[in-house]
Amino acid sequence: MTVTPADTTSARGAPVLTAAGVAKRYSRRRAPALDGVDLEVRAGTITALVGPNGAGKSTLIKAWAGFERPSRGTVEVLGIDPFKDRYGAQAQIGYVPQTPTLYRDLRVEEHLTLAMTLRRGFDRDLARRRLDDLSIPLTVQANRLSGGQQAQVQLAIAIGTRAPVLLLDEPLAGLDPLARREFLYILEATVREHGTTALLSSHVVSDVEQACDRLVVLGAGRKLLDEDVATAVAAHRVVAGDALTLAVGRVVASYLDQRGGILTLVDVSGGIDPGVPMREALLEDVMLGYLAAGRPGMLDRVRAGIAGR
Amino acid sequence: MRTTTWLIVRQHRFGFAMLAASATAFVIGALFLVWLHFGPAADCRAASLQPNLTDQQLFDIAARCEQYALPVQLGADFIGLTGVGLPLIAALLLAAPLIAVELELGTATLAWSLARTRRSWLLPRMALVVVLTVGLGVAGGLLTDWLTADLLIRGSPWESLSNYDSRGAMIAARTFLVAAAGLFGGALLGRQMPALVVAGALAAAIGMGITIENQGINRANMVVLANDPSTGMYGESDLYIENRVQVIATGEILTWDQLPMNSDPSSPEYQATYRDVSLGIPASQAGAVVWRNVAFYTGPGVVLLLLTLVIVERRRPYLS
Repeated sequence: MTVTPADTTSARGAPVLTAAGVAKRYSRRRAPALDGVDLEVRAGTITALVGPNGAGKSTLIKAWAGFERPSRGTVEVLGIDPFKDRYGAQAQIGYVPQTPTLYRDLRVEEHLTLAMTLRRGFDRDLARRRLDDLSIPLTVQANRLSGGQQAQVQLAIAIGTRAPVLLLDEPLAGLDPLARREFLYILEATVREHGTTALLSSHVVSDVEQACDRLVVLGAGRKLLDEDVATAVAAHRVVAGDALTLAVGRVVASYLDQRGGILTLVDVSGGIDPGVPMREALLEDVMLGYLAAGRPGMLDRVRAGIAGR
Repeated sequence: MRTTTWLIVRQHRFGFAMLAASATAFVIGALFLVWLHFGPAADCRAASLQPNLTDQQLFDIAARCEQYALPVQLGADFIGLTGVGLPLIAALLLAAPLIAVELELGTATLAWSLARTRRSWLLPRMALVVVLTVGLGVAGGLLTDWLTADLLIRGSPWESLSNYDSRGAMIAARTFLVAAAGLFGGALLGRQMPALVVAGALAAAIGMGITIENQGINRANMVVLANDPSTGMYGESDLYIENRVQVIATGEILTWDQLPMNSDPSSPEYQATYRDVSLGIPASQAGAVVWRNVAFYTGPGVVLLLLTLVIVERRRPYLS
């Protein structure tokens, strides 16, 4: 099945990426990277996939890209299982990996030529325009580009495929704030113009705030949160301290604030306990709370470390 | 196709530079052979091959041609070494990193996420490397054939078993095996140095196995070699394996151990009963022997290439 961006746009809101009961275990000695994840990413959205290191973000993205076969469950890209029809699924995907994987000795222009030889319908002009917008020279070898420029070249190549789905596996890790902003600007522009769907793995709050309209949090291989960004922020409150007994609401997790104090994120979608003083949550609080929830015992380890000094 | 080829060459410059250097060495070798064939040294060889030369005439020819002995020896050694060795080295250095470097540096992630199929990515690369390295092997084979024809035998090198194991089609076939082993090792291990070591070891092991098997087949098929009347020995193009003794009356072939204990080869009685014979493969079988060996080398090579396709199809595009 071939789905063009126009089809995707017309089916705005329909699930584009689905994961059903996906589990992945790399070895028996290690905890599973994914443990029964169900997820749907809808068309025309930029979804942030957030979680601590080892939460399974990359594994999930690589499963959709057809690189990591789930031990259990299924993944689909526009209804195509990449492990039954790898190339059918791959044709729908533009993939940007965590670390730039450009050919060091090839010039930027040659990367676009390479992409043309490999992918039918690769839109070289579109990719070129994206690079021109950022003043990235086409005649320079990839190893002479900064990390941010290399990430931009990868994104331009992914965009040039005109694939309806972009899988972005922490492409912003290690980039300076300006490079991150430019990257996200190009990403947003692409989604707006072409109706593309993007899944962006990141743990940076400002990235999610700038570009994403949905937030999915993974922790210890499980899905902890899957909400629109605005809904997620509205559904949580923050309480100082961590020894909480709530009449209403659910404690998500406690985490350190910037001054070393302890805050607790509370899910108030079921109601707010009037007896406990709370402040409204910021997106940062929501992300920190769920990142901490994905790393059980972290606060205890920090306390033990402080006590031991 | 031209664009794809150019990009592959740009991506693997070191290996292709090695290939170009080998080709240059072969051009130098070919120039030497032209000199050997058409230059003054050729006159010396032609003169020495004239029939019924007296000792004095042979001495005169040797004295006149002494000045060419060293350059001829050096040139022959150069072709012998480069013709046999360079195709194998170039095949290993080009083939083993071809896939391994992409997996090691992660560029396979980019390429495989873009490619229509992994096979469509791999086949042009594989074909280019195999065609170029086998082409280099063919060139090395032709040079060593030519050298053999000019220095060692009188007839066609393709109808001769003289040094057949280190020249001609055997070099091309071995190069194919090494290239296939390199591609296989690279796809399997995904790291350049281990791929080079494993591919070299694998090709050497298969080559050793083929040599042992070939020797067994040759022994099983050896016959009494006819003597060349001009030398009284087996022909220069025959493949000699061993000497035995033939019972003249019955034609039975005996090993030296099977002779009676007190046999005296110088006695008239012995000479009336037995004659020494050389056993081996006659030159008339050269084609069959060479092509059998070529099949022995290309068979495992084809299997390794198919396995490479399967591995690339199934493996991750990065090191886990």
